[in-house]
Amino acid sequence: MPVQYRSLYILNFNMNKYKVYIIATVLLSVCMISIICACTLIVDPYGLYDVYKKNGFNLQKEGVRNKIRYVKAIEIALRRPATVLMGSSRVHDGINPDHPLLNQYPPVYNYGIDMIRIKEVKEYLKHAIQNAPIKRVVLGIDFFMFNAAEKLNPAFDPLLVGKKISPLDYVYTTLLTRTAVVDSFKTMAINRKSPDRLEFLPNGYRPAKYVFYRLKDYKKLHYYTNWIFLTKDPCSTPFYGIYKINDETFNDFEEIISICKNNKIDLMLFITPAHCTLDGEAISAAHLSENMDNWKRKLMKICSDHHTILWDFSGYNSITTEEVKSPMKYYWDSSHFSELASDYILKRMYHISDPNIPADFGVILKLSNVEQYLMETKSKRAQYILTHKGEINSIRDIVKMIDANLVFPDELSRGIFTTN
Amino acid sequence: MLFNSANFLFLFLPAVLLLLYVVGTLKKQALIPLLLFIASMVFYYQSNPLFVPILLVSISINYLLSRAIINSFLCRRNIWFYAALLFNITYLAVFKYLNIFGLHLFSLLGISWSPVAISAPLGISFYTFIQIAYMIDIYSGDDDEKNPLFYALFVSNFAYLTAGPLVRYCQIKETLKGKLLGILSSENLAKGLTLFAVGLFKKAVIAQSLSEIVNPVFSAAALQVKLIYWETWIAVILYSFQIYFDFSGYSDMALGIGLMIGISIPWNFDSPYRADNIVDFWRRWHITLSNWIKDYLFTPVNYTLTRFGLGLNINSSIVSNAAYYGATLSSMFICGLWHGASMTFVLWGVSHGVLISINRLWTEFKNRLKLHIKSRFSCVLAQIVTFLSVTMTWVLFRSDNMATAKSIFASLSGSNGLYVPGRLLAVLGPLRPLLQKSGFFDAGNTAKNNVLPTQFDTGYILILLFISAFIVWALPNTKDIFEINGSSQNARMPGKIFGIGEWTPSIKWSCISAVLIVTAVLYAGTISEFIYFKF
Repeated sequence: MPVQYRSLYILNFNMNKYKVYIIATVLLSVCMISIICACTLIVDPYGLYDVYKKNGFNLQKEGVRNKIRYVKAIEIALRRPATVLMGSSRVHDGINPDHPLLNQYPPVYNYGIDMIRIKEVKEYLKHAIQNAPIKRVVLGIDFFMFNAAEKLNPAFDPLLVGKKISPLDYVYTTLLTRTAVVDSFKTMAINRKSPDRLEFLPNGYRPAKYVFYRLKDYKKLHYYTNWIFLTKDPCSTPFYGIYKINDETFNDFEEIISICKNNKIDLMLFITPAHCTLDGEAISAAHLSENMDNWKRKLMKICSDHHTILWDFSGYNSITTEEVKSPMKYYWDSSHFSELASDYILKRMYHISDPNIPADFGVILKLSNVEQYLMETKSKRAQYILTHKGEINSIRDIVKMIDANLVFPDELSRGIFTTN
Repeated sequence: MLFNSANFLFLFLPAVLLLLYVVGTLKKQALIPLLLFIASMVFYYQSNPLFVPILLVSISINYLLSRAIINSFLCRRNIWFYAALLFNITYLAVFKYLNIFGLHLFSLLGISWSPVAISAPLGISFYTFIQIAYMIDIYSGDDDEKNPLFYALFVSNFAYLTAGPLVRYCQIKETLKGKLLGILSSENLAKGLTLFAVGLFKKAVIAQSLSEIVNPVFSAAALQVKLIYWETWIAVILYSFQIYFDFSGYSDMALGIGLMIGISIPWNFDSPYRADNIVDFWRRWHITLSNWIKDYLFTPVNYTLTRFGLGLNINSSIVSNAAYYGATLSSMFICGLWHGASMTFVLWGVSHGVLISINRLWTEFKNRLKLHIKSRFSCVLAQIVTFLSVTMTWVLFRSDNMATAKSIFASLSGSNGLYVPGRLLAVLGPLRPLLQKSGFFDAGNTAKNNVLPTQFDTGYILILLFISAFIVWALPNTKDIFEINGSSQNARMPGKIFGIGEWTPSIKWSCISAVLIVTAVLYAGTISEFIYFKF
C-alpha cells in the first residue's frame, strides 16, 4: 500500500487520512462507550450510584445476585461503614444493619457473603480496613467456614480483594462491562416481573423474606438444604459431605482476631444458630460431631487467649429445635434464621433483657464451662432424637440416597415455593 | 498491569501517548527514551513494586558486563562473557526455580527446607533471555549499546517486558535510537491502534469466552472427577483455540503498542495452526522464542554433538542424525523448563522434541521413497495431524499437575466410557436414535458428570468452536492484513475479510476498529491474565 502522506509527529494537525482515521476511531469508540455507560448508570444493576430509581424499573438490583463478592468489595469502598456485619449467607440474610442496637458506630453495613470461608473472611476484613474506617466487626461463624476441603470459594477474586479500590476500577467494572450490560437487562426484566421484591438493599442486607420469596413448604426446603450440606458431589461446594480439618483455618481465625486487635476494632463473635437438624443431626450423620465439639473447644481456646468473647447460639436450644413445619417462626430453612432470631442474638450479645428470649439461647463459651456445655448439648440431642423421629428419619433418607449416588428427587424440589 | 486492564486502557496508554505528543510538539525528542523508560518502570511497578529493583539490578549488572566484554580482549573477554552467562542463568534460577528445585533437592538429601517467600518476578524469563541473547550477539561481534538509557529501554520496554516477544537488539536498535522519532507518525499510530484493537478483541472477547468453557473441565479434572468423553474433547480443542487467541491477541497488542510509541517489534505469531508439520508450527508459534532456541541452543548443541561424534570416527550420517535428535530433545526440554518449573511443562517440551524428531524421521522416510505428494488433501490432512498433535501437548501445558493431565488423557482415550450427553444428542438429528440404540455410547460405568456450566448450551459451544476455527483457518491473519515491515508482501493469504480488503485508513475500518475496541472493552472488565504472563 503506498504511503501518500507522512507526518513526522503524531498530531501536528496536518490532516492526512491517517489522522482522520485516528480521530474517527477514537470519537466513535468514545460515543459508543458513553452511551453504554449512560444506560447502565441509569439502570444501575448493582445499586451503587442511585442516579435514578423507579419502582418496576430498577429498584430490585438483580445484578448483585451472582456477584455478591464483587459488589461487596466495591460497595465497602463506596459506603465506608464504621460497623460491618460479617459472616456467611446466614448473616447476609439474617441480620439487619438498621437494627437499633447496631447504631453505636454508624453507618452499618452488612458485609455477609454467601458460602464464605474463614480465609476469605480474613481477606475481606483486610479489604474493609483498607477501604473504610472500621470500628466494629460483628462476625457470625459457621462450622462449614472451617472446611479445609475448599479454603477459598472459587468466586473469590484475589485481584479485587485486598487492595484499595480505585474509582476507575469500580466505575469501569460496574458500568462498562459485558456483565454490567447483561445485568442491566436482567434488572429491568426482573423489576417488571416482581416489582414488590427488594432483595438487595444499599446497606448490604438481603432480607431473607425476599430471598425465600413466596416460600410455601418449609419442610421440603429444610430437606433440600440438608441435602446440599450432606452431598458428596465433588463438583458442588463442599459442606459436611466432604469435610477436611486443617490447622490453617484456625490460624486464619486467630489472625482475624489479631487484625482487629491491631486496628483497635471491637470484634463481636458468635457461632450462628443453624437449625439442629443441620448443625446437629446432619453433622452427626456426616460423622463430624466429635470434630464440631473440638472445633468449638479450639475456637474458645483461641478467643480466651486473646481475651475475646465468643457466643454460641448453635446446638440444641429452644430456638434451634423449633419444630419443622410451615411456616416457622425462627427459620426459613435449616441453615438460615429469621430476623426475629437475629434480634434475639443481638439482644443477647448486647446484654439487653427481653422476656421473649429463651434463657437457653446463647452461651458465652469459656474454659470453665465448655466441657459441661458440650455434655449438656449431647444429652439435649438424645432427648431430641427421642421426640423428633420424623426429622431424624429424613436425615437418614438423605444419607442413604447420597450413599447410593442418587440425585435429588424431582418430586421434592417441586412445590417449595408458590409460583404466583 | 495487564494490557486488558482498566488502568492500562484508560490511564496508562493514553497518558503515555499524550506525553509523547507533548514532547513531540515541544520538539524535545531527546526526552522520549527517558519518558518511555520511566513509563516502563511505572508499568512494571504496578505488577509488584518489589520486582522493579530485581529488574534494575539485572539490567545494571548486564550493562556493566556487556561493557566489560566489549572493552576487553581474548581470555579476559571470554571470562566476562561466561560470567555474564553464568550471572543470567543463576539470576533466573534463583528467582524462578529455587523454590521448586530446592524443595526436591533438600528432600532428597533429607534436609528440611522452607521455600523462600518470593514469587518469580513477572517477565523474568523474557528479560533474562533477551539479555543472554544480547551477550552472545555482542560476543560474536554484533553491535552493542553504549548508552545505558537505551540499553535499559531495550530490555525493559513495557510493550514486551512481561510476555515478549523476545526482541533482539539488532531488530529494534534503529527505532530505539535515531529513527525513533521518524516512526512516531500518524500512520503508525493509526496502524498500531487498529492492531491493538484486533489484539484486544482476540484476547478479551474470544480467548476469554473460550476460557469460560475450558476452565471448569480442567478444574474438574484437577478434582479427579470422571469427565465425559465429549466434554473433554471439546474442552481440549477449545483450549487449543484459547491459547491461540490469547497469545496471538497479546502479540498483536504488543506490536500495536510498539507502533504507537514508535518502536518496531518483530512479528511473533503467524497462524501456527496452518502449519503442515511440527517444524513449521514452531516457525509460526512464538517465533522469537523459536528463533532464540534455534540460534542459541539448538545450533550450538547440534554443532558440539556433531563435532564430538565426528571426533569418535563414527559414520557422518549417523552422527548428523544423532546430533540432531540430541540437540532437538535437549533444546525442547529447556524450552519446556523455561515455561515453568514443573513436570507438566518439562513433558510438554520433551513431547514437542519427540514430535520434531518424528517429523525428521518421516521426512527422511519420504525422501528415501521419493514420496513428494503435494495435493490439497494431503496438505489439509497434514494440517489436521499437526493441529491434533499440538492440541494433545497443550493438555500437559494447561494441566496444573500430572494427575490432572492423566485424568484428561484418560477421558480423551475413552477409558471413562463414550457417553454422549443428552444436550449433544439433541443436536445430532437423525444420528440420535442410532447412537442411543447402539448402547455402546452409554455403558453402565461411563462418566456422566456434566462439568460444563449449564448456561452454555451446546449450540453456543458449537458456534464458538466454528467461529474460532473459521478465524484460525479461513481468515487472513493480522500479519497478512497490515503492511508493517513489508509483511503483507509475503502474505500467505490475501488480505480480505468479507470483501473489506486489507487495512486502509478508511471510515469503514474506523467503524470496524471502534466496534472491536468497544466490544473488547466490554469484555475486558472481567480481568483475566494472559497465559504467557506467568513465564
